[in-house]
Amino acid sequence: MLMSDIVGIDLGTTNSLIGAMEAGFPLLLADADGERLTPSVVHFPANGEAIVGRAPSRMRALDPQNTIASIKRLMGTREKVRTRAGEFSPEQISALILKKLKADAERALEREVTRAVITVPAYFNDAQRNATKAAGELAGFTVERIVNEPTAAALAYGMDKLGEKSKIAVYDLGGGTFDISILELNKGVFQVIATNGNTRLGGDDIDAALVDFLADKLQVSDARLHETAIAAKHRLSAETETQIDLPFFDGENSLSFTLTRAGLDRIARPIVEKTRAHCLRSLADAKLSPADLDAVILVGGVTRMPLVRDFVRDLFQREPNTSQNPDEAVALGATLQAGILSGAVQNMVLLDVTPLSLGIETFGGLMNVIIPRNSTIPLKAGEMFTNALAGQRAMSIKVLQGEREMARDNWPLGEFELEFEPAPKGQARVGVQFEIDANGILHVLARDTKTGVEKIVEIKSAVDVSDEAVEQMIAESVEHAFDDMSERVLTEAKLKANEMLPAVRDALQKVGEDLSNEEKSRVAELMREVEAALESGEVQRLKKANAALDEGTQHLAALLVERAMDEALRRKGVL
Amino acid sequence: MTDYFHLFGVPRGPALDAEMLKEKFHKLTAEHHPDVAKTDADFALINEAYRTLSDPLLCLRHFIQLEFPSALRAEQNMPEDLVQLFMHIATVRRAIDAFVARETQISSPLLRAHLASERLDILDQLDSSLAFVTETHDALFADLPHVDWKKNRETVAEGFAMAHHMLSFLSKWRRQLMEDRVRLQM
Repeated sequence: MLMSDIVGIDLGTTNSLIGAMEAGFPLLLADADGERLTPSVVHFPANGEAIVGRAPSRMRALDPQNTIASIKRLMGTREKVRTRAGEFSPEQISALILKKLKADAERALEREVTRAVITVPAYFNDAQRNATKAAGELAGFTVERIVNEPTAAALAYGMDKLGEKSKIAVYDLGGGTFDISILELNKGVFQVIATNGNTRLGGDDIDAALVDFLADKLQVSDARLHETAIAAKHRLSAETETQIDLPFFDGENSLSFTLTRAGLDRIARPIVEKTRAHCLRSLADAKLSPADLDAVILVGGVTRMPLVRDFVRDLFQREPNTSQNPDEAVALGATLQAGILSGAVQNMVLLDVTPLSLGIETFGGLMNVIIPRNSTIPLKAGEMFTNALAGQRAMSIKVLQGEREMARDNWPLGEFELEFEPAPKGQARVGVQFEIDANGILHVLARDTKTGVEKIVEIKSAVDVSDEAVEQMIAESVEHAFDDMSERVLTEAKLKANEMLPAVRDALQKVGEDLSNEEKSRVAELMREVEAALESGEVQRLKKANAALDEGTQHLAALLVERAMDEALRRKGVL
Repeated sequence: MTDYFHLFGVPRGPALDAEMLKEKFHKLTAEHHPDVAKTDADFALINEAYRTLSDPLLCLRHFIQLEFPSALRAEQNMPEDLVQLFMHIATVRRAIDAFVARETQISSPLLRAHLASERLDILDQLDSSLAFVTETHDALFADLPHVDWKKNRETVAEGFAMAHHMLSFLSKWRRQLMEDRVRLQM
């Protein structure tokens, strides 16, 4: 066995993969069934050990209590999952997936594998990165590097274009997370200029919305609905309509429903639209406009949807690049990074950034930024602290990550205590060094400027200490559960209805001729339902009618916006 | 203070060519990044040097600190030439804040669509302010490389300090307006 062997792992929300360098090329490794994609699903059977992958994936409908999927969404939180085998942390579940990959790789390579590069969403914060690293260690790996998924995909894209100079964007919409990264490629140096994203946005959300829609439409709550819906979603990437069948869903009756691609798009669009703000922000941070880019690379299974491709084409004003296998590019890139670290890959190096601003809480509850987002890593930044009172011996410092002005709106990473030598006010001085390593993980070092004594500061992770915050969140969600019954909700729904009805009439007058007759009568029907619901004074009915009218007038809204833009251009004399 | 010009092996000056600097940085990265390095250079320092030199304002500041250490004063007042511009930008930004606040209250796509032409008007105002700020900012920077700073050092130091002072305002406004632009487009 080579000492330098390092594997690359894509630990995904939906699927995971593992690869290794073979003869200078990244190679993805298959499991005993010859499959490279391992569903990130863990099942705890009544007897025996936990199983991972395809078999448990099929157990989701039959035994959801003991089958864990999308665990990545919980990484970096202290939530536990409960199963018949006991309680597990997100790290422990992830470690089971990693162990399975490790065994598959060892079988395929016929040697022991102990070192790994693991990918994470670029927008993962410090706690989520630490949790991923911990999961790797639990699985028996030495984690050589945590690398960002879109950056890894860029490595895979650029490995055969090392002579070129270009600027690219990687649009990575996976099962549970979204990232957008903008990079500059220059003779083997892959420099990330800006990154943005949302670690709770992905294909899972589309699946949930689709299942809700179908459950409502078909009036069933069948456990199989989930699997059936996902399969239909996949088929609609190639077909324009598909049949959803639930044979004998209640033991007797069968159900059949035709879902069109347009129907699916209507459900998925609001979720895909959420990526727009992140894309615009990353472009602004990179000080680039879409025209400055040479390519926009699509990664992540959801980018197979025609809706997503159209969305990216509109936003970036170019045909997206689909040269990469959306499921495999990240794992290939992780393997390449493993090769860079082991020395198997020459002439490539990755310069990544920290996705979130890092700061500390100041008096008055504000966030004081010490390291701005999109700073190139590894990096160090210093901050000097002095005693506010004579003889003050210690000071507690809260470390935060995020972009909001108020400290409480940002993600608390934890806090640490600084100790002062006794001194008059403002005389004791301790320098604190914040270091973000190449994994994007924070280390803090304090140095007493008088004694010159340095020490590594232990940050008490907020994930471990903020029981109160968790309880608060639970309390709030309980509170909101009663909202629907209150008078206030009815008043708000009435206000909304009374605002919407004239607005729709106005819009119909302005751009109604561009609607089909079918659409017009559908809108009229939705308006009648809102009026009837207003009359009845039933909260739930009115809320539902309002929501339906919102959804049903999306096309009308788009026409109105188009009309406004035409008018503006005409005013300027362009048209 | 580390002389970042020296670290990068580029001639000391109030402004640098961005492309040339990037080439240098990528070359240093290929040699010294911890993933590939055979040296034990402090890569975090190289990183910090690039962050400073590649930001025109920070670069100018670093240059003044090295060359004319006493010239930078902690000035609080806004340069007179910029007061009018500031008032104008403040007005535009207040209008944007008010519009965004109003719009975020609205959840329905159709009600939002009714605001489309108002949004376009505000965007127009923002774009013309941004263009003006950028133009002023870039014109000031364009002059810097031509200053013969080895002669008349006292007057020159004074001039650089003033330029730095004005540019710190202009850079901030440009950043804010660009941020507003993103907010308006969401």
